[in-house]
Amino acid sequence: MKKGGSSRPTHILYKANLSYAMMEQYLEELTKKGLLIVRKQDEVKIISLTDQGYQYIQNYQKVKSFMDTFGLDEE
Amino acid sequence: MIPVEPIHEFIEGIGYDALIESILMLISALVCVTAYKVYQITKGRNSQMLSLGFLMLSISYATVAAGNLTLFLQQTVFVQESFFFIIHFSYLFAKTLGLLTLATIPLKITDKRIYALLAFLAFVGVYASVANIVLFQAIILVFYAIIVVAHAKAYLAKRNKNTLMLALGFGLLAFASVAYMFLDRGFEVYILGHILEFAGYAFILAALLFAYTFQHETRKTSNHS
Repeated sequence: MKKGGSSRPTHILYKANLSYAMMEQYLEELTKKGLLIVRKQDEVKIISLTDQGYQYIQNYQKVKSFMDTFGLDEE
Repeated sequence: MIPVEPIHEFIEGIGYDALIESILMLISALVCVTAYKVYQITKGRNSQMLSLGFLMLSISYATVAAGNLTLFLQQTVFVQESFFFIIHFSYLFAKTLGLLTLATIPLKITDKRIYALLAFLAFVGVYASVANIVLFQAIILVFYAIIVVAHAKAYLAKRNKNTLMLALGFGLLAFASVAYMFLDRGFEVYILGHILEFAGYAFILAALLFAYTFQHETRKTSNHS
C-alpha cells in the first residue's frame, strides 16, 4: 500500500491470504497501534495507512534489506 | 633513555597507512551502528553478533592506526617498544575476536562455550607462536574463508547483488591477509595489503549503502510518483 493510499478489505484478504476473522483481528490491532485507519465511504469499508504506518513499512523494508544482505536469518 | 628518530624508509608510507586504517575503522563503525540499530528492532542474536564483530574490527583498526601514527613521534626506545607491544597485541586480539564473531553467524554457533573455546584456541595459537603475525593471518584467513563461502552461497541461492558485493569485499580482505603473510618480501607487499583491504571495505560500504540507504530512497521516490 502506498503513502496515503487505501484499499478494500477484500483486496487485503486476497493479497494476505487470510481468513476474514484473522484479518479483522489484525486490522483491529494495527488500528489501535495507529498504523491504519478504517473508515466507511458509501457503505464500503476503506482501510488506509497512516503516516506512522507508512513510516513503519519504510523502516521494515530497510531492516529486511539489511538482514537479507548480511545473511541475518533470525530464528 | 635513547631517543629514537622515526625510520625514514617507512615514514612515507606510514601517514597513508594510518589514513587507510582510519577509513576502515569508520566503515566498520558504520556497519556496527547499523547492525546495532537492527538488533534494537529485531532483538536477534545474529544482528547482535554482526554489530559486536564489526565493533571489534573497528577497535582493531583504531588501534593499528594509532600505533602507526605514534611512529611519527620522537620517543625513547622503551616508550616505542612498549607502544609497539601493547598496540600489536591489542590489534591481534581485537581483529581475531571480531572475525571469529562474524564467522559464528554462518557457522550458527550459539553455544557460548564453543565460542569461548574457539577464541581461546585462536589466541593461544597467535600469542604462543614465534611468527605470530603469519599465524594470525593464517587464522583470520580461515575466518574470512568461512564468511566468503557463506555469502557466496547466499548469493547463489537468492541472487541478491548486495550479498555478492559483500562476498567480493570479504574475498579481497582474504587476499589482503595472504599478502600480509609475505611482509618479509618488502614494503610493496605492505602497500598491496592495504590497497586490497581498502578495496574490500569499499565493497562492504557499497553493500551497506545499497541495502540500507539507496534502496530506501528508490522506494520512497516510486511511492510519490
